[in-house]
Amino acid sequence: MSTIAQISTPLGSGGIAIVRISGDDALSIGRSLFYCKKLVYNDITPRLLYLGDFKLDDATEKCMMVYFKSPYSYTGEDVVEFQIHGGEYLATKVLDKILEKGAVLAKNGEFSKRAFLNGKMSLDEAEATIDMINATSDAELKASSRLAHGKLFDEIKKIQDELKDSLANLEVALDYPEHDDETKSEEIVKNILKNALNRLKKLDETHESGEKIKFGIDVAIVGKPNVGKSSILNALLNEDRAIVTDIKGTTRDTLKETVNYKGLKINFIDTAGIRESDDVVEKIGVEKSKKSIEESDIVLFVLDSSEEMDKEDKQLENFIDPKKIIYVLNKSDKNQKLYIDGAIYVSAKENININSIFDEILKKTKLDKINYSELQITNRRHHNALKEAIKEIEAILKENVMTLDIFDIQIKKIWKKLGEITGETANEAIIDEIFSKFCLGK
Amino acid sequence: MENYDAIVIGGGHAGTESTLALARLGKKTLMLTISLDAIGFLPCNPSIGGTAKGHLVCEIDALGGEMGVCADKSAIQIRMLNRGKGPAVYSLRAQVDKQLYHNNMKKTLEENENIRIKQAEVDEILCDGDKVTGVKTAQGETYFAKTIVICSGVYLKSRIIIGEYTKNSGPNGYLRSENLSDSLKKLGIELRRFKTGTPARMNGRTIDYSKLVVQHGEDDIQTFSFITKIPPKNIRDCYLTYTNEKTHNVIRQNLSKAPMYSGVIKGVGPRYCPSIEDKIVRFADKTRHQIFLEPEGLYTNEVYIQGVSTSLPVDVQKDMYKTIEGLENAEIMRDAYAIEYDLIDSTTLYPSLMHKKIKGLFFAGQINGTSGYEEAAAQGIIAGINASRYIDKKEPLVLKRNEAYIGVLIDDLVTKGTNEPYRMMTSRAEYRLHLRQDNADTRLTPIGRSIGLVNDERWEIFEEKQRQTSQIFELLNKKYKVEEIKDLYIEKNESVPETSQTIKKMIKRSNIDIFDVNSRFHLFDNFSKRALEYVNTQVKFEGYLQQEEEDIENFKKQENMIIPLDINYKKLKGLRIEAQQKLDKIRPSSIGQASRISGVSPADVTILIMYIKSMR
Repeated sequence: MSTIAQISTPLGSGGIAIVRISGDDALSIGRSLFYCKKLVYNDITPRLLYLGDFKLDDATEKCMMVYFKSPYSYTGEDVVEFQIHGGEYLATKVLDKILEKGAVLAKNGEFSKRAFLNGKMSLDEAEATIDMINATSDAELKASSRLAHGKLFDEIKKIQDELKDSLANLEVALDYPEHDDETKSEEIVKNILKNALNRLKKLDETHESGEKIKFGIDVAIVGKPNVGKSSILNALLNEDRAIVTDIKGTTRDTLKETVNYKGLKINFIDTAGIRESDDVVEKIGVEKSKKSIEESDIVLFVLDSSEEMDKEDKQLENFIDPKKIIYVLNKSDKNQKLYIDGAIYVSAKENININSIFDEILKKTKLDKINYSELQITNRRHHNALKEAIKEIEAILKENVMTLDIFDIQIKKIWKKLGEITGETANEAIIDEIFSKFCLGK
Repeated sequence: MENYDAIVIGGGHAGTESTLALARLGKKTLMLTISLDAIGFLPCNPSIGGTAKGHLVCEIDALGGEMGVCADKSAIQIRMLNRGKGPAVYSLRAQVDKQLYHNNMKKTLEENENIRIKQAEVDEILCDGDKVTGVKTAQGETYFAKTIVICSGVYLKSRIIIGEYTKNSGPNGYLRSENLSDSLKKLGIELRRFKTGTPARMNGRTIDYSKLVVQHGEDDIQTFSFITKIPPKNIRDCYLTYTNEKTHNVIRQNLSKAPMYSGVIKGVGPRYCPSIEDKIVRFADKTRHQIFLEPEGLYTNEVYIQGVSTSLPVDVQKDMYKTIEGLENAEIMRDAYAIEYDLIDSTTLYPSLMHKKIKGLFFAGQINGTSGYEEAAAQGIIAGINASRYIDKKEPLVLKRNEAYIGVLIDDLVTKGTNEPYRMMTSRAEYRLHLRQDNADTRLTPIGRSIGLVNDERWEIFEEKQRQTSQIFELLNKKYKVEEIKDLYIEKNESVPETSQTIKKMIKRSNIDIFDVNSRFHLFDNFSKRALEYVNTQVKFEGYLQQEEEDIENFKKQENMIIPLDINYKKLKGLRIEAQQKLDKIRPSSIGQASRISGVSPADVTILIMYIKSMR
């Protein structure tokens, strides 16, 4: 694997900056650029800070160097870090020098990826760390940091532990028939399952908001041509909100812009006007629009408030899932002819009432009251495991005639599914539980 | 100077199976044992089988082993445990007459032309380079052989402990092995020390059974062996009693005298078979512990007090046993004792049970860290088979975790190792529904036949059962009209179907089995009970079996990803040091085995897979 390097501290002006090199050549590259009296005659000691000079083209820069010898480093490879005086400019110069010596610029999350490949991190930790690095909104950062710090794991682990306790009970009944009197009845175990089911379902429900936190809320803007969709979009994208991405297509394609609002990502999708068309290009655009209406979380249905709804508007309205719809009546500065309950009256031109649209989006997606201390499942793999566990529990609770050993096997399956999230799946764990709980033997 | 194909050291349950397997595979085999009277000896409880252990016995039998046959011949009470908890965990358990078991086993060995039995203590394993050549006995004899199987049980430098009293001795007063430990050390084999124990034996004449709950055997029951023709009779009963607060007080007051707590015992004891003082300390809130009183045999009054093994001093033992209901005036005939012994680290063995560093040297039984007669016998038969295949330069027989409890047992031993005496449990098996007593023959008899261990008699019995099985399956398609079967459904508390039903559909109902159908229509009168039971289970659990089948397929995929034996883990980039060391020590043969090693993470396995793929 190549040797990689990157500035590890956030860009911008700060007190100090750290430039990290990882890989087989980390030490040789680092040493070739660093002069320290102590290192002239002596070998470098890992994990010791050395004060010296970093050689730039036209100057030297006082800085600290530290070496982490493989495997005792973040990535598990040889790692060298330079701590230099703050300033993006200086850090970039140092990095350039390192790249000149043969290191490759690290991609986003590549240090973590290597840490995973070298067994320094579990897949889940690595995923969460990478999510954290890539987080583009506060809420996403909060969710992924909770994942990394194991709060979600803690909750699933708790459920898993309760199941483990039940399993230990059942298996004692199977392996030590003479100790039948000590074991819990099927009824008690079923109650434990019911409780677990409720808690898992709750976690599952958070997945949706978790997804929204991670990928943003998709909001489609639809309406007939000339009702002011574009000007509403422009008003929504008001310069005091940071535009994160901006993907543009052809005029008939959809346009997606992301805005940060109250720490959440909102992706606005401007659609081409929906109507039957013979024009091939336009047809493609219309198809895409229909698709984006179906796929979006919220649909802003823009109408001209100075006109009543016509046939075309009604057709369009029928096409939209009522649960997703927000009526936006534009041109409220003009003579008003249209009244709809719960609609938001705005004037894109005068920039009136635009913020109400944001608040309505959060309200409709229930993200306005989101409690960040709640746990959100944002990882797809975890979510799948969770869904399957829920399915299995529901199946067991439905079935009434089952022998004890089948019952035990089914519960073990659920426990293992949850273990795909927490990492605990070995039979050994249950056996340990058996012996810590029960007094068995001859 | 005498030459043999194989030498087996030890005549316990591992040693006897090992010797018989070798001899039945045509190898001239010498069995050396410290005492001829300890051949097939049961030094602890007088019973064979129980949960998961009963499965092991059936598997040994299906492969062509002896334990099941001998247990059937020597049983004085037999029961099926776990009835009603599911066919996968049905477990046969027999009380056997200890003397009878020993006699039957010894006679079987004596009758075999390929076996020579000799009483002797082995002092030294002889090697030429990294290959075994023979043994030297303490009495000064030398024997040569191509392969050696060590089944030394708990005899290596063993020490008996009863309170302050300790004695260098094997179990039950037999001599211990003085020098074999040192010889193994010289060969570079590291030794460890475990501890186990046994309760007191009492004179049944002095036990007051009148207040105790009796436990009878079950008549007309399945046998361990698939070839046993006359099932054993129930001629002795067991009894149930409990410890109480008085018992616990005696123990608590004398805890300082318990070697486990005073530091006299240093070996690691088993969690599943704790001494009574251990139970009182670890489970302080329990007000009573169950005790079974088991007869030791037909021609003795001795009774085994199951559940109260201890190493407390004899005077404390006396006071303690006296507090137990039924034992108030009982006389102790043999004191309870603890025993410490040397053993090896089982992860130094290949799945064939041959040592990784010494060619031709096999290990089986308690020396590998297991506990229990059945666990020992299971390893014994495999070590015997593989020692024979080693001589013949054939690939070793390695049973997989989805094929047999024996496979689970040995895979656990060589992959994970054990830090306490290892006992088989059904919860250790991932594919329990497939590993039943009733299908042990379908799983293993064809394997035993292809190896050469299953003789014609056993094979014919097996083929006959297979024939019956397929005939029964065909008959299951027979349909009956609603009026013909209505009564049966009502009687069995099942909702009456609206259309005619096949037998297969009928026995899928939870309250109806194949025997109920037969008692009405007499379609299966000419079939054996074993065949019917097998079919009944296969049909009833069809759905679950299929689900498990899918898991097995996944498991097989990992097992079939072979890791080259010459792989240099230390140079494999990306592996963590701990994983490198563990993999280097265990040298797993497949990705599946590698993933079961403790300390090897899924990330390590991913790297291994990537490496293997890149090599292709």
